[in-house]
Amino acid sequence: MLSAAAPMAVIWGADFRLLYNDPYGEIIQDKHPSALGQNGARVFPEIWESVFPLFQRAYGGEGVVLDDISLPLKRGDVVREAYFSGSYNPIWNDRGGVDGFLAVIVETTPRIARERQRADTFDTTLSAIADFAYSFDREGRFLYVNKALLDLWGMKLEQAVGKNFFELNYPEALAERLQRQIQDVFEHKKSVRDETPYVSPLGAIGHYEYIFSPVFGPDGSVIVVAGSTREISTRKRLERELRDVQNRMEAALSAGSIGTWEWNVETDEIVADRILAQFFSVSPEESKGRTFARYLEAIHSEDRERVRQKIAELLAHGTAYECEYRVIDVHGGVRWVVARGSLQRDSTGKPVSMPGMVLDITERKLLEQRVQETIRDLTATQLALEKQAGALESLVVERTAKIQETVKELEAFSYSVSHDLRGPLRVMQSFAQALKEDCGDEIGPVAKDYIRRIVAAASRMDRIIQEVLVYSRIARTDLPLERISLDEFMPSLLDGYPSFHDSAAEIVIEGTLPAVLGNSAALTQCVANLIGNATKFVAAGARPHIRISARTENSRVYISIVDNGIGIPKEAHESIFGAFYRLDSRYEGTGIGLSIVRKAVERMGGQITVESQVDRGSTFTFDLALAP
Amino acid sequence: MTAPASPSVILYAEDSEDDAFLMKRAFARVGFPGRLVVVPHGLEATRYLSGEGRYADRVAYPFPQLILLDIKMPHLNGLDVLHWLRSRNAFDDKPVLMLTSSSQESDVRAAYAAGADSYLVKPANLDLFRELVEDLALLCALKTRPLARFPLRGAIVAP
Repeated sequence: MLSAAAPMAVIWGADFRLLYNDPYGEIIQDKHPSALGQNGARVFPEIWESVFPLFQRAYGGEGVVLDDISLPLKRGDVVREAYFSGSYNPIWNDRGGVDGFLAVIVETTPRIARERQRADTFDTTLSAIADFAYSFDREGRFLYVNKALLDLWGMKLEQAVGKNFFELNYPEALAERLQRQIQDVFEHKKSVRDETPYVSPLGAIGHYEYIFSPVFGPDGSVIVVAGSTREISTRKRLERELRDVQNRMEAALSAGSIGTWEWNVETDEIVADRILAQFFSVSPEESKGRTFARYLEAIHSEDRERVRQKIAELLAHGTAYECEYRVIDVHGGVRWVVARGSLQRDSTGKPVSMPGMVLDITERKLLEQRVQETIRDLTATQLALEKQAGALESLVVERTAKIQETVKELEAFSYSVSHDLRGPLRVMQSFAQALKEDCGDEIGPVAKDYIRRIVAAASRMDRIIQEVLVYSRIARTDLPLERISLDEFMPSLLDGYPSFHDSAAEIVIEGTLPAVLGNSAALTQCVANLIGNATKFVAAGARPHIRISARTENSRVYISIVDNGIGIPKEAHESIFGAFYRLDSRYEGTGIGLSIVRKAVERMGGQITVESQVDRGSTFTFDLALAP
Repeated sequence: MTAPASPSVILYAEDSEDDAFLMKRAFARVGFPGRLVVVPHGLEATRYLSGEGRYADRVAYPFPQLILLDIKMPHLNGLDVLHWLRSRNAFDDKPVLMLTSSSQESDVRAAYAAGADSYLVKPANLDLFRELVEDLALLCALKTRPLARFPLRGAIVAP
């Protein structure tokens, strides 16, 4: 029962305790949920006088029928007219007594209100409207004619009722047509719509559109034909356009977004439609004539003064009114509206009335706000991003500086380690030598051979360390480029290395050499190492022949050193430039020389290549910028 | 000028016993006509030079004609001693030579900037020790500064 869709309650016991379902709870509104299990007198004090006798009857075992009974319930702190229909049905126990009763009820307040309103407004409406409203009996005689049509005819109601169109002196053809159409409605039970020009007995000329509609009796037959006529403009197109606009307006109106008003400035009465009333939390009853001040109350306190000002200015001098503001509805909700109106003045310029409309623009405003917020968010995000980018940039700069610092520290560290290695090595070497010199008499030839090997290994290690130091220096120190005249540089370099001459090598500088942009320390390392290799890696017994030459191409100087040495197999052309790579262990070397050369060339902005075949000699070529 | 008859004395500040030994050996082998006095660190060198304590006895601890300084030493390092020396007019005429295993450019620069007369890298073998002692003997014969053009073998010139 309690889950039934109809509002139901069980009223139990002599003190009428309530137990009800959800729909019933909706009817009693805020009395729920405290009404559950509560006794009737407590729940319904405001209507207890009316309800108590009915409850007693039902509890006494009598079925009670409620037919639009007026029970002004207090709901939400307000006592309002309310009507209910339904029944109270006693619940019998097995001892033949009544324990309580089942109340099944329906609230009929809205229907009653509608009916009452209809009755109230029927005549006043028909007499007030500009349209003609009327009805006919089966013979086409007028049963009712509203004031507007009577005025057109210049007649009184009693003069018109009971007459047909012929008797009212309508033109013959028109009267015949109208008469036939009335009969059609009676017979076919369908509305007829048509239009016609007409000149009234008082001489008013108009074009009229009319509709005759059937009014059905209880048996389904047509008992009366009701009609309405409206004067229409002869300019049909305009009319249709207007109708379209009206349709749209109506759609908008029914959608609840446009309200209309008419403000009688002289009496300060505003007549509003349902929607406008809703906007301003004005009840339907009030909507027929409340003051401007009453409407102002519903406007958001922050906007109220602005609207008041605007209206004051309008009344002082102006006609067109437009204003956007917020209104607060009964639930405290805020709506944005735009109000537009047109102030009418009399011939003396005094404000008379202002019709207008109010359009709900809450959605638009919200959208605008969202767009604004989005823009704000975006701007904030952008700023944050820029800030982050800035922070990131300085972080990168900071890190880069740190890394550079670390690299420098590492280089300095490896440099000093290499250095420190040399100290003990020198000592080992010197003492091995001292051993031979000072104790030579006491040791045999085997021991002397061992000492020789120790000294040789120590000096080899010392050379390696020295070359590593050179490599490290070439790799890490600043190598400012300066103009170097190769014609002067090469001969003086060769002079500075007596070992080149000791090996009986033939070293030839071919042609004249240009001036380059280079670093003399780095270039010395390059050339000295390449020539050193060329003099060293020759077949046993062969005399080294070395040619140094240069050619210029696109502002680059290509320096070649060609030898007649043992050559390099193709597969080793790249690896010979790697550190500690040694092609042939029969030749003495550290394996660092060509690494130094390549690093030195690269630090001077050039590249080094090798062309070589085994037993056919090698050509090393590196390039430097031509000095301007 | 010191009297020509007095024997040459070289003060050598060196913390490595090995290097000190090899140097003494080279002096003996070359037959250096004077004395090599070795002190184990920079602080001791300044004490010796200013005649502190037992060094006040200039017979036992004669004032040197020439000063050799290792760089990496405890207490005061070679560069500290050099600064100390060059801030005292009394030692203006004393040649000071750096003798170190470091060929680092920063050390070379610092040494010359502080007023070193020459910068020598420690000998890598006995032959080079011998050469060095021979050069030092020649240098002592000159007795005073400046030594700018003196051809010390293996010296690193000012960058």
